Amino acid sequence: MIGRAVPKGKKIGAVVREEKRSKILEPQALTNFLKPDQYIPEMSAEDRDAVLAELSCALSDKWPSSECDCIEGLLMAREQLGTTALGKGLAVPHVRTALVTSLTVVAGRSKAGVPFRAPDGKRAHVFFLVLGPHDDPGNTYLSFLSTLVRAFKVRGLKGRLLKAASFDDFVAIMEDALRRE
Amino acid sequence: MNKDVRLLVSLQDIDNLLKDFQGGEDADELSSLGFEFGSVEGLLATRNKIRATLNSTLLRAYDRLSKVYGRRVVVPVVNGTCSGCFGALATSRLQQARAGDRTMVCEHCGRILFWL
Repeated sequence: MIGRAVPKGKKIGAVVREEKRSKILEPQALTNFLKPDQYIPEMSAEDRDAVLAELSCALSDKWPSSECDCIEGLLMAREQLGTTALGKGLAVPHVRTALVTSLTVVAGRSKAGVPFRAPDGKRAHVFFLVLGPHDDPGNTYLSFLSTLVRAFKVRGLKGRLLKAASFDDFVAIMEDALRRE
Repeated sequence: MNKDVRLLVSLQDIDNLLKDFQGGEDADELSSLGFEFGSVEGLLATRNKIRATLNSTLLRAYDRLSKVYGRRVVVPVVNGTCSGCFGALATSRLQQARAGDRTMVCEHCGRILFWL
C-alpha cells in the first residue's frame, strides 16, 4: 500500500493543504520548463489577441493547428475573467487545460510592447504563456507562476531580458534574477 | 481529435476555470500574486455558446459524467491508459482513439477520451 507520513499531531487535511500550496521553485527548476523551440525572441503581434494567437502557435510542433486554436480560445476566455498582465511590462497568460499532461511554457518578447490592459497602463514587453494540467499533485503550475512573479520583483529584469542576445542568455538572466530575489 | 471532443475539452476547461474562480484555491493564490479577477459574465456567455454548439447526446453524457467525476471528464490517453482511471485500454480502442474521428469512451470508467 502506498501511504504518506503524517507528522505527529498534524491532521491529514492540513498536510494535504500544505502540499497543495504553491512553493517557490529553484532557479534551475523554473528554467527547465523553458525550451528553445518555445521561445519567441521578437513577437510580431500588435494587440492582445494577436499575442495570445502567436504564443499558442508556438506549440504547433506539439499539436495540430486545431488544438492550438483551442488553446487560443481558452486563453481569450481566461482574459474575460480579468487581465493576465501584471504591470512593469510583464504579461503571463495562464490557464489549466486537459490538453497538457505536464506544465508547458512559451516565452516571448516584444521590444515595441503590446497594450495588454495592464494595471499600470503600460505596454507588456515580456510574455510567458503557462499551461498547467488539471491533475497536478505537486502544484507545479501555481509554483511556477509564483516563482515567475517573484523573479520580476528584481529591478531592471524586463530591460535585461529584452537585451538578451539568445535563448541561453534569456535563461541565464532569469536564473540570475531568481538567485538575487 | 474531432470537433466535438475539442468543444468538450474547451467546455471542461471553462467549467474548471469557473469552479476555480468561484471559491477555488487557484483564485486565492493568483489574486495574492497580483492577478485581477472581474466579472464572470463574459466567460458564462462563452460557455453557453459552446454548449449550444455541442451535440445534445454528448452534452448530456458530459453533464452526467461531471456529476460523478467532477473536474476530469474528458481526459487524454497516456501510455495506452485512460488518464482518468489509469485503466489499460484495448489495442483496438487505442487505434480508434488515435484516429480521432469517433468520440471514444473509456471501457472501464466511461470517461470521454482523446489522443494527445
